[in-house]
Amino acid sequence: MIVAVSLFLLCSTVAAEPLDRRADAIDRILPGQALRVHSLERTTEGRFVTNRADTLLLQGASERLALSYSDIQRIDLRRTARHHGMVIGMIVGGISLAAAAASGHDVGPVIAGASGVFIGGFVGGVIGGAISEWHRVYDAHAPADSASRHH
Amino acid sequence: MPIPRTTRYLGVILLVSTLAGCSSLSRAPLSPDPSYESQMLAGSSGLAIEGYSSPEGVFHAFQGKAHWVGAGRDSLELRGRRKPAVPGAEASGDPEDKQPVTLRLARSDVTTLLYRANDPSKTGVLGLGIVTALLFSGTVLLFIAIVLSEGTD
Repeated sequence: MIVAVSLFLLCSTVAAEPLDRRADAIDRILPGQALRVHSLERTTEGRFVTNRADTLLLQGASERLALSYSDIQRIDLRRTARHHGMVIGMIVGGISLAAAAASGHDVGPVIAGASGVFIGGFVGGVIGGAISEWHRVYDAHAPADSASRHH
Repeated sequence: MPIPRTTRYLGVILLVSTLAGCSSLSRAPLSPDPSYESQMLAGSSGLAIEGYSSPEGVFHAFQGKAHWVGAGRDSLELRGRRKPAVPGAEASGDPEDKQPVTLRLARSDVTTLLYRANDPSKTGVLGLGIVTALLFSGTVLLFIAIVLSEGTD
């Protein structure tokens, strides 16, 4: 029974994994999205225009560039830091309010800490939403399950 | 006490706009694997889409529903309205439809679909914001209650 379940799970995992992680990652990029493409020779930044056959088209600062899929080693996308901001805010808010309550207030540290998690998470998420950062969506040298699924 | 009609409408508008704000545009390759998009395409109601891309790399804006048709899912049927361009993409040259149209495309003519997907981080921030607002209002109400009780003593 355990062997059958394990085999089923293994097969499901294999089936869900895209055949070409690079093509799958590129097929999930939205038009106009800022991206950074690392190839063997150079790193290119621009906005995603489209992809066709095995070519990625992006609009650089002054010219349109066509990059062959086979040259691409890594792809980073510019996205908001909302998720990171939220997590950092929850940790900082929770610890700060719990510590403040523990240092001599009427409110219990647990309740104060829980409130801090909510308030800190919200404030952190709002601040993070206004900041953008690079997210790696494809790395030729990364293990198969680490960089592809980014949506 | 019955809720006034205006308040009900405002509540519905607020709820709809809040839920709409928690989604973001996504793009996924059209594949026969058991992915979320593929399951939605196979469903009776179909997948609500904002557009699709062709093998030539052209983004076509299409607001409507898409679902598989034909034996072996060899075609895709789109019902809705065409628009001139997908936001951020170059204009496709498609006309803007006033009335809903039905398009039937071979699977090989569609490489990716654009659709609105739930954005967990947006939803998370919104949820935390609601709880924060409740915490603040609760604290203010508690403070007012304490002040009032001290005033009556």
